[in-house]
Amino acid sequence: MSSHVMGQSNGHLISADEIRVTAELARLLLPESDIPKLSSELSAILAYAESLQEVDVAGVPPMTHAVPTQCPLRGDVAEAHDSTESAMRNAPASEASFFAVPAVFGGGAADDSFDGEG
Amino acid sequence: MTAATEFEPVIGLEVHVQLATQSKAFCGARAEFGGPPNTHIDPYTLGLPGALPVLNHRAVEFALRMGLACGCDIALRSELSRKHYFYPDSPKGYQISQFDRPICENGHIEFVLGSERRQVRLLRIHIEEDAGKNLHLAGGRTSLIDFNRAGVPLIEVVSQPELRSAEEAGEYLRAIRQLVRFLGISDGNMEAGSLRCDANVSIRPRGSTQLGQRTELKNINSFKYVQKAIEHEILRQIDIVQSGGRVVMETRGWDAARGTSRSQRQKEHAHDYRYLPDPDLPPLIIDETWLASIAAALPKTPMQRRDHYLLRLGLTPYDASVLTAERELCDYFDQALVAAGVPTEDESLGDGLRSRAKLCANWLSSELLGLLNKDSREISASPVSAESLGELVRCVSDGIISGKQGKEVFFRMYESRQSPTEIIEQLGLRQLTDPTLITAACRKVVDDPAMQKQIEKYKQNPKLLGFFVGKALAETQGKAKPELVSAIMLSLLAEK
Repeated sequence: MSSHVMGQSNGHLISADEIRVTAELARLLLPESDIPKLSSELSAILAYAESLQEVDVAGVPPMTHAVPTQCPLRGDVAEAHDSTESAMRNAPASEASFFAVPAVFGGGAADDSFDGEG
Repeated sequence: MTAATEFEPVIGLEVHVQLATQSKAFCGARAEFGGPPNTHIDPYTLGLPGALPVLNHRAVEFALRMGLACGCDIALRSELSRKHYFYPDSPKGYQISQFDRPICENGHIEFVLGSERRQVRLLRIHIEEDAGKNLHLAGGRTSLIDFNRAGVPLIEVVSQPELRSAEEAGEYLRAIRQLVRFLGISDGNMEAGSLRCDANVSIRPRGSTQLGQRTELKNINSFKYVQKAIEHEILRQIDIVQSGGRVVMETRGWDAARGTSRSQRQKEHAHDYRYLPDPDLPPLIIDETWLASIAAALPKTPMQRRDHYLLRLGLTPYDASVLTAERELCDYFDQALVAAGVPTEDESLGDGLRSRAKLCANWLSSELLGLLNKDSREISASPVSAESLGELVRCVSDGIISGKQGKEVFFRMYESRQSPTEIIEQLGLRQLTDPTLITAACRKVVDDPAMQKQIEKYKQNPKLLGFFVGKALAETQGKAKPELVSAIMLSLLAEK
């Protein structure tokens, strides 16, 4: 979380390497030529947000939501839902009521899929 | 041999438990296992724009039951966070989980290893949602996705790295399965995937207190392989270290078919899941009155019931283990005890009642479970009800029938589903215990003029008592209780 203010090698709050890692995590294909521009633009945004650091928050509990409310709970009732057919209608590809995607195997960057199928 | 003992394994387990709710964690789609592909879905499960999550009250209750049973610190305010990753089984691009403020922290899991009682501390228990299932076709260029499982509520139980052997890890996992079944929050079925386990394994020189480089073992999806996979990983790491290598941080997948593991991903830079509090889900506040009512209604844990059997009933550790294997078995046994006349709530039991409890345990574990096992039946499908078994034990304990007759009655109970009393009446097995009737039978024998010569002989030789007892038993068609006949005959002969 604190990595936002890591790379300041060229005076930027966010380094070119951090742009590359972030793009990879977000599955964005960035042309190398865009990186310096993004680095300076994102750094400017962060610098603006950094002005918040001046506020003294000692003793103020962290706030994760703007509206002071609590998580509503619903009863454990299973309800009728869309048919499989209607769900498939928007899928780019399907096969025998499965969604079909390009082959994926373990080793993808995010394989915390608890997948027993292997 | 000595090489392996120079090292101490350090194991921590992350156990995912699917909660047995009707609907999913954050929407009303059915949470039931299986079903035709993509039938337990709705707009939220599919991650369609605009579909918002609303947390299932029962999922929270189940997580709290587990936390209370494990002695965790319950957070009255916890946070639901997004854990981001891209994989086709997660249509939203993130999983709702809990990050820095989980619902339960600390606590422990208790179990028995060999004859030793063990306690392994927990780091945390948190709520999250399950992912869908990928079906990879061999050699295919397509993967098929079924979202029936996506969004099913899970708790993840994270242990401290305190397990010291593959065997201990296996027992720990079995204890979790047993516990969630006793608590009624999951079926704990590993084969169906309602219980899944990842293991963090490292080794260090015995005596060292520093942690070695760990690897994460995934995909251990059956009890059979938990021990095997961890054992294999321990030996693999020892091998590397002994040949001068270095264990690298990585995720390894267990391949049950080959009995080996292979590297799935090297964790050079720890994965960045970009956790953030889910903007759609405000803080989860637990009402203290609700928490207290869950605590008050909390089912007894297997260890509590085990202690009850050991300490109060005086059963052996073996009996206690057999009985606490399943909650249904414990419940059955407790009902049988009541029917057998063993009070359930008294502080301490006398020897008579303890031996009656032991008799109940014997009938249940050797006779009934033996037959059920042979017929591949669960205790819930037993043709002999708990009440009937307890009644049978009472009949034997009270001397209404002998132990040997008890077995015959028991087999007939199993075949016919009749109560022991009915069968005892049908077979005319009831032992005659009325002292007046027995005295009359005995008197008939000793007053018989033809017996007087034998009585004179008896006065010289008391061993002849058996002869008179036999005669008196014959008078009752063999139904009188022999011990009673013997005692009464002895006193009548003394008067002669």
